Amino acid sequence: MQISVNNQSIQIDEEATVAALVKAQKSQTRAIAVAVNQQIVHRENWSEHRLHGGDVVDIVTVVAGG
Amino acid sequence: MLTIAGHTFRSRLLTGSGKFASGEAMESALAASGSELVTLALKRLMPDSAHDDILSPIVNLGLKLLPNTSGARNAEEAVFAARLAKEALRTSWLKLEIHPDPNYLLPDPVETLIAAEKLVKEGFTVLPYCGADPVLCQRLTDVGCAAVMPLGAPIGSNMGLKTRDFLRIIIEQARVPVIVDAGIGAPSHAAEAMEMGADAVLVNTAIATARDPAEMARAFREAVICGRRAFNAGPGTVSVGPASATSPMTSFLDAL
Repeated sequence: MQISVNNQSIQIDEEATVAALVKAQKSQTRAIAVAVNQQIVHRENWSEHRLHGGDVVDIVTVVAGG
Repeated sequence: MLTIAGHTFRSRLLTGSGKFASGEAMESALAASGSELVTLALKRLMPDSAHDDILSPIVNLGLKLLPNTSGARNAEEAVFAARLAKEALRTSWLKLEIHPDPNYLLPDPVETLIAAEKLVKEGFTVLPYCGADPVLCQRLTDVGCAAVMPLGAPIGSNMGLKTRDFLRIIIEQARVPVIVDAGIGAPSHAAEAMEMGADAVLVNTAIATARDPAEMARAFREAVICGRRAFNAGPGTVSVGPASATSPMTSFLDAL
């Protein structure tokens, strides 16, 4: 199925979870926040939260800034 | 001691983590600054892209995190960014900044006030970056902001306190800490803000882009302490016109 991640369209497995999506980003940091369709999905719910076709996902992390 | 939302800080110098040439330069400068509250920004995570680990040095130094909403162009985006920041960093402290104008990065007062009110109701400790507008600072205080952060000059400009006359009014009327943010380009600017009675200053570009960021951070640390000391000491009045003698005006030379 197709979803949008950070404004880019990607294909993922049916029934994929937020946890699987985050893992696929191969990020080193733990300071990550995820929102699905503009709603925050808390870290403790990542492994239960299944994605659906057409979902709009935002994944952000922390960078330097003033 | 500086108290913001019940949290006490020994240092009145807040720092930003942006624009440093390297993580090591940032870490040594933050350590030298004595700062206890450091700003960070959010960015979309790109797959397989290497992100510098900005967080570890800051956490290792034991500094409190102040994520910002930079990039938000309106209240709705800022509220969303705030929720993401809270989730990513597990802090409800927030530097609210909404600057839709890409040239001067000046904060949007209307969107900032709307977002501030909403975020305070959601339980955030909101420190809004705002214009040096005394009425706006009062309104932001009314909706529950923990401090106000009026600008001295545009972000990153190093121009100093171009808004000084309005900062004086903001400080005079303040019911929450006033943190002068943006435009502070030299330790003398920071000292001036502190002498005026600002509760704190936030400095990023002036430290990060100095030839020796750690040494500049040390200079800012001392300037802020110095300026606060002068404020506490109560500066003498400024008078325009005839001089006022500091030595006795005796006429003993006439006798020679």
